[in-house]
Amino acid sequence: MTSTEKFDPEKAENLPEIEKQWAVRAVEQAQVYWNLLSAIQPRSLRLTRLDDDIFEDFSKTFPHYVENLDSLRKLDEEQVKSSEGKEQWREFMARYEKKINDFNFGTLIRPDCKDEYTENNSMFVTRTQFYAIEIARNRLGLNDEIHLQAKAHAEKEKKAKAAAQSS
Amino acid sequence: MSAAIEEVTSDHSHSDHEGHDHAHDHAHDHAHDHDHDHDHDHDHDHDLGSAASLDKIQSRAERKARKALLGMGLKRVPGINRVTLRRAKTVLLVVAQPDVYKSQNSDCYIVFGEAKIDEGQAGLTAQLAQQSAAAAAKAEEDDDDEVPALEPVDDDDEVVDETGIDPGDIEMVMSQATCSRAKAVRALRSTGNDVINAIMAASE
Repeated sequence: MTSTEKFDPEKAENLPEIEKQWAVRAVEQAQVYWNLLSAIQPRSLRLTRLDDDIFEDFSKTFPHYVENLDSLRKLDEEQVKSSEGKEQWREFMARYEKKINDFNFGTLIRPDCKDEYTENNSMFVTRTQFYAIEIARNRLGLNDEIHLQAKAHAEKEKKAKAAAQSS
Repeated sequence: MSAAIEEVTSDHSHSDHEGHDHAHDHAHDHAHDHDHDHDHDHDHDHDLGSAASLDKIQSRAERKARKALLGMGLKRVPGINRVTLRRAKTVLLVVAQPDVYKSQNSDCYIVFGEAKIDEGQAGLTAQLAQQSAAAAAKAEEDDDDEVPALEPVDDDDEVVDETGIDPGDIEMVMSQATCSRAKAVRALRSTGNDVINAIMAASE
């Protein structure tokens, strides 16, 4: 557009690059969480100051996840995003609107807790859902396995780096 | 006020109501061209009139800023009634009747005008917006090239109040974000002890 052209505010658009910023944030957030998982024993990992409340509320609202750990290990995207599941989650989330920062921000979660974030193993949820599920996984020890894997991997990388530097 | 008063025929060939874009090529300049009584308002600085739309500007700093910008070959974009800046989720900064200039060879716009916060916001967000509006207004009037400092300078030796913040969380943020203790505490405080957000904030 040359500057002498008449500028039509009705047709002004936002830059797609800026619209995509949420994705950048979501990936950053996932990376930070992944680093935490590899660095800290999940059972002692605390994500927010409300972890206890969230865990208790989650166990009450979604008892089937706690009773049947397999469903928490491997999330059923269809179920979470079914109209019934959405309704339940919406009520759950509403309770944290004022308590959790960015409670409804788009966040990536691993449907299968035994695997890392991959193209196939990431799912779009809200920040509140992410906390509820990951806090439960951490407390119930479901993330122990991936923690050891990630830790081993991180150590291996560290060693490789050190070796590369010394050689 | 006793300057030779000839009837000014108001043939402002270049005048433009919307933008107050008067051409100051003769000594008498009516603020309104249908105002034909002889009560002229000659208080304006006519010597500044070489560039367009300088006549409605109040502050000296803004005038200087505009002059400097015009010297950089910015072109006025006509026909813009409103510029809306969206901050965070709900905070809107609205500039009504702005003067908008565009840089000729890049997608850079300069907007002059009074920024107002969109009404109906919660008290806190409005307050935040007000602060940023003040900052924006300051930046706008500031004709130095300096960028206003938005973040406090990070001082590693600073002693920060850690009450209410878990020492374990501080260590975690420090090690994950490789930052100073003070920065970790600040990040945790501003995110309400949200570890992941704090790490993200502290690593930026």
